Amino acid sequence: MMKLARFDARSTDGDEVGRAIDEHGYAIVENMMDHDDLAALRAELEPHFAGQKTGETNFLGARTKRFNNLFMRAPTTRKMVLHTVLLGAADHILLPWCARYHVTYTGVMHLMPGETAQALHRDAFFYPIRNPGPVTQQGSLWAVTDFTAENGATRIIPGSHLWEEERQPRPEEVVAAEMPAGSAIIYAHNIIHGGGANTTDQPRTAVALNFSLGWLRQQENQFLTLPVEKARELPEALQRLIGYDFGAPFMGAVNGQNPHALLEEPSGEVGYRSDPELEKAYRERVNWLKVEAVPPPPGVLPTD
Amino acid sequence: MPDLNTFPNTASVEEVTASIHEKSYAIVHDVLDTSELACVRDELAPHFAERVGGSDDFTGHKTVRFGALLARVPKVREMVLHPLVHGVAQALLGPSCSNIRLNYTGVMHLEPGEMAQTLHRDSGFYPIQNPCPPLLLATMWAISDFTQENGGTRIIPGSHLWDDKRKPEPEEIIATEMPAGSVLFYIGASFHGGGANKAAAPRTGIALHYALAWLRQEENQYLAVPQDLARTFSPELKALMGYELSTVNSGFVDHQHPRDVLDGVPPEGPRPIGPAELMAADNAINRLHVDRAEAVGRARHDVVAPFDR
Repeated sequence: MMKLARFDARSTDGDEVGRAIDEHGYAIVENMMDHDDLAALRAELEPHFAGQKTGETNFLGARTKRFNNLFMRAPTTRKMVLHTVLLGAADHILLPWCARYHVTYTGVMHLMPGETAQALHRDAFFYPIRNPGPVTQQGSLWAVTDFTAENGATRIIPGSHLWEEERQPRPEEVVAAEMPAGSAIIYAHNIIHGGGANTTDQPRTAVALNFSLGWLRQQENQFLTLPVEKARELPEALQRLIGYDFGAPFMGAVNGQNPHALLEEPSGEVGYRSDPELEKAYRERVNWLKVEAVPPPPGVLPTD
Repeated sequence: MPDLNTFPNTASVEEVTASIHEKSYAIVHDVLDTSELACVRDELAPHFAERVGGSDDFTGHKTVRFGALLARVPKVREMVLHPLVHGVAQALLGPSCSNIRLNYTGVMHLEPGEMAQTLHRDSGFYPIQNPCPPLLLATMWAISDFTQENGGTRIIPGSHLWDDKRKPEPEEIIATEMPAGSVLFYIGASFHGGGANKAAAPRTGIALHYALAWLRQEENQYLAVPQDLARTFSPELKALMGYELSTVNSGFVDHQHPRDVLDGVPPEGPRPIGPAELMAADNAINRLHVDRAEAVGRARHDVVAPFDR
């Protein structure tokens, strides 16, 4: 078994994790959650498994239960998503490509015994940008149970985030991201990965908390999932992170205003104005993509 | 003044689209008739009293602006779906997306004495270098006549094909002139700006922009339009404003189709949300191949046409 890029949240920081993701496409960070948070999270998730249907396709998993809207269903995720290592890694890998990033997806992937391996893929089909290219999303999968090769630990192809679009992985390049409960694997969207097969008699549970560049549309519509009255229950940093904030100069406005104004007491301030911080980011930091449109390859999306 | 690239309202989607690809812009006359114009003006009138204005040289010191037009100006719900206008948006943007989405709605009401606006590209908040495939199509609807004198939109024909280094020259700028009821179309990458209003009366335009559905909206339609109101809209309008997936399995709410959530349809289990046609569309669109990336910044130019000095 090859040695994985592995860190301890108590002794690393977002930059170090971000640099590992630059190089390998992923980093495993142990001790992202303490025992109490893990217990709280399990208790919050438990009632939602009952009655959940499984997926209808191989890709969604015939023995996998999925649900979203985690900031409401499992409030411990509100703390997880603001973890300094997670945000620091996102600053490192996403901010070269955007003025701000936002939450694009929250979800549980609960693989029950007997689940088979998911097709290997990149989280790339939401935006038609070929590889290699910018990192458009940072994924994080949090181990709510231990992740082992036997119970369906996420399989990854280290380094594949840098590959040409057409290169296919060989079986010996696939490794299982084994990690104890309370860890997270943080990864660039363009690493090739997939859920493993669960050959044990216990479920394998993961929480996914994913970010995307602030100028891209969110996979999970946060404004419909968390409309104004629900968003008001969240801490301000999280309100902004789910999209109640400009994503770029003027972008995401409501009547010319920053959308966060909807969550605040009326200030009496009206008028179209941009945000100097965002203007500066666009002037100095953000990399602009030189692109060319090319025809699609056959059969891009995972099918069954 | 050069001849403007103008079409009658009998023009086809294909000819208007082809012309925009070549010249950056096109003007179509008589998209709204007299009674429709009167209706729009009546619906706009109460909102001018709110006097939400710009705050700097870019947003304008003598420009009244307001958005959320799907909520505030009922006629706009028909305008965004006008067969020619919506058809051109679909034809122009369709090769790079499975769906198009309404990106922005706004009134731009230039009062006498307003100065010429900085030339800019409306797609400039997407960090993609020019030239590039169309990301955004803007339409500017003339609610009053647009003239050179009253600040009719300034535009540089062909500039959507320029790279980011090329700077506009003053004599390359033309003024959009069109009677009320006309529509100016331009690709989001075209250099343009509001003109100086040297006339005695205001110049009123309604900007309605469309973009690739996988990009974030400039104006958040989910927050700008109350859900109780959006629920009453036609299926086509719901889809256009964003109660539609951008690709299979993207744009959902708790793994349900966003339109079903709006309409209160009971949830089903996790399945690929989106019909087979959407997956076929996803598989057929062009991909963006990235050659390189660098921090080149956003192009804006304080270049003023001779007639605006």
